[in-house]
Amino acid sequence: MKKQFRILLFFYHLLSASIIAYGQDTIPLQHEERTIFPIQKLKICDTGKLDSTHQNCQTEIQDGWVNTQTLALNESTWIQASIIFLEDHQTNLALMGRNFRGAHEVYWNGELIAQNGVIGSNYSKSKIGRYQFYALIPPHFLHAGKHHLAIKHLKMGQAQNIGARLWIGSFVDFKKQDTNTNNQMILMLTVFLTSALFFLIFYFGFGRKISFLFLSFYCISYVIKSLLKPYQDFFTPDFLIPYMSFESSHLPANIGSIFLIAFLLWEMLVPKKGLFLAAFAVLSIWGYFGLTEVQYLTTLMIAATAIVTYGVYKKIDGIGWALIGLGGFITLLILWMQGVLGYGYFAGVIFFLVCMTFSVGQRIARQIQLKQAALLRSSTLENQLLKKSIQPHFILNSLASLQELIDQNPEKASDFVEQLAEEFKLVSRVSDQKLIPIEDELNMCRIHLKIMEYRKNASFEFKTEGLSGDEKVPPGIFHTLIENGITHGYGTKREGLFVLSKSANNGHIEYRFFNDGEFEIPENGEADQGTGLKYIEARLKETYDNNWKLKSGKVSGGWKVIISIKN
Amino acid sequence: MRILIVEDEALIAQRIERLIKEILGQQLRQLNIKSTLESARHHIHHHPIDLLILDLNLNGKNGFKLLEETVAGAFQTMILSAYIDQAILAYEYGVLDFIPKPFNKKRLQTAFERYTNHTYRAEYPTKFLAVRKKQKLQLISVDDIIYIKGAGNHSEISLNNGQNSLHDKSLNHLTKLLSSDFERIHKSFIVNLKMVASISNKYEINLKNGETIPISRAKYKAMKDQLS
Repeated sequence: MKKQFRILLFFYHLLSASIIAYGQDTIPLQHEERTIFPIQKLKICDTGKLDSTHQNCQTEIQDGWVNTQTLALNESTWIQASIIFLEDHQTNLALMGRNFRGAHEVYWNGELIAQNGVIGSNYSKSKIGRYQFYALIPPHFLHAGKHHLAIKHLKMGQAQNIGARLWIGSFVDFKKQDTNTNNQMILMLTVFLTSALFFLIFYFGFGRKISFLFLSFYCISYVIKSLLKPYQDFFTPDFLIPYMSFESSHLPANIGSIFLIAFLLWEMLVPKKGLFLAAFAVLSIWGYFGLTEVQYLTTLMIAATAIVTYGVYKKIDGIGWALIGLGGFITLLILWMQGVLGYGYFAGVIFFLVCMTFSVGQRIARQIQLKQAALLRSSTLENQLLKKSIQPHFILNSLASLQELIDQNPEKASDFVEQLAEEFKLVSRVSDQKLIPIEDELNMCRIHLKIMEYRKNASFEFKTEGLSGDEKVPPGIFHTLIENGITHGYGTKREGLFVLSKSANNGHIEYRFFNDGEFEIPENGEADQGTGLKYIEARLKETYDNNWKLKSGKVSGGWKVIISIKN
Repeated sequence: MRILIVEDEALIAQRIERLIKEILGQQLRQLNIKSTLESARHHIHHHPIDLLILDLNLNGKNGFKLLEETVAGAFQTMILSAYIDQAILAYEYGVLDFIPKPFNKKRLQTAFERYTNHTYRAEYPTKFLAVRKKQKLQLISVDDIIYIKGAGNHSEISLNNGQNSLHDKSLNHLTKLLSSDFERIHKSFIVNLKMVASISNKYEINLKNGETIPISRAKYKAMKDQLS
């Protein structure tokens, strides 16, 4: 099981790493070919006015990559720019607009060259355009010199506000870039889908830990986002909800973030996590409408950092991986926000997920180990209890006694056999349990005393004090104390008193076990007494972890063992 | 015969006592039962016995510590135990017999025959002899013994390191416990055959350490044949 699991983990990481590497490799395409240039300076004019003479709107297309200036298009407006071609262009040049939400008409030197959506006579007759659009520049306008660009922009319903961007460049290169983006999205989709399945397997395979399900849902939301992203870029965006569909790809990201926060809250064992989660869910949904993507992601990172910081404070298991994962996520995200790393956002998410698989994998491997160890311990304890009652020397001594009874007192012999059978039945019934009703334990003690009364021709009395009858105890602990007592304390004594009393005070339950045997410093019996006590300690540890204490020692008139258990 | 039984389970003690009385009848001079080792020690100290029948909890080393003490005594020791897997080890410490529990009258009878039969050799010979040195018990390996000389009720063991040790058992008792490497060649001598160099015509045996010890006429011929 563990081996397959490790192989699975290995392949997952291999896949993730290769995809990040591939993504990084293909992103700087524009830098190298330099045939697509952003338009840096644009003039935004008032609605309805086409001011073609404005001289400040001049943009020179230079040989070099510069950060695109973003436009906040909150109103319906005219966007204007002067563009100077330094030489005649032979190839097909195109204008690409992105993050323009609404309907547009594009004019080049006063001529309408493209329409994105429909600008009607009024709002209801208008139709929203694509998230990303192209306008081919007619061949007769490709000569060197100054050109005038004007875009009529009708703002339509929108969710988050991202700055619009304009590029001018070779149409073929634009298309290449789109194909690249598309391919990358498919790769991203594969990673997220694999991760989603991976965590789903964890969820079903390892104790249905709810946080794995959250992480799986987080991945699924990115699967949806990866699906929507190329779709909204290249198809009419209003396929989901008209007028709100521009950033439909942000909605799954916002919903996904709720699962991310849920995952972190549950993993870091934050108190009142339900409340925090509800608050963050409200924030996320509101943020879809009210915050820009960057603002929202910043909020998310602050929340995540707060939760992980709590985890550090509480020294949560696996906190190291969470720290690395989140740290890497934030770093890549900041690089993306700065425009340094094209796919920093996705790379960040994937990096975080990879760290989580390491963390989860490590923990599960440890859990498997612990479980196996616990199972082994349990079965060892079970065997020990069984072995005690069917120990050869116990049986053989009992048989030797039985021989004498058969010869001398057949009726008693029959009773004796019955008692022996009773003890075996009881012990084998309770030995595989962790806790048994006190009554079963007391019965084992009584029957054992009965058997020893026969064998030793003695009379043993067993008293209990303060027991309510509904207590539960690990099997065989008092039975073992009785055995020990008889073995070491009643060599010559023909009468014995065993007392088990229980008291409870400030969160502790205390069992006191006393017997009135004559204990010399057990020279020959020490080792044997030790085995018995070791068995009791192992049982207590199994059931109560470290919340118990055992004291054992000689007292005046006998031997006393005190077992105290923290509630 | 004077017998001490050490058994802490009343029914079993009762059984041993009953069966011994049936088996030995008039031969039994004295029979005591003790339920603890302390009281048994005390008894042995004050009353000489011929045979100790010991129920020993041999589970663990402490059991053998005690066994060491009893096998050093002048009497023979028999173990009556439920720890049957320890039988061979008990023999190696020098017990005459190991009677596993449960047991019947026939098995006890066999044990007593072994006690009385002078030619009987223990099923597994002992590997050690417990000797008393300066009031302390010491185990010596039987392989280190050159010969044992009878001296009244006890024996003098001559070791190959040149030292001598005293043992409380008589030669009769010891013969039964030792392996066939040890031969009773004289009423007062047991020799380790591995230590014999030659046999002289003067009814004497020359040992590898240069000593000579006497050999009885009865044994002389057999030994001569065996060594030539």
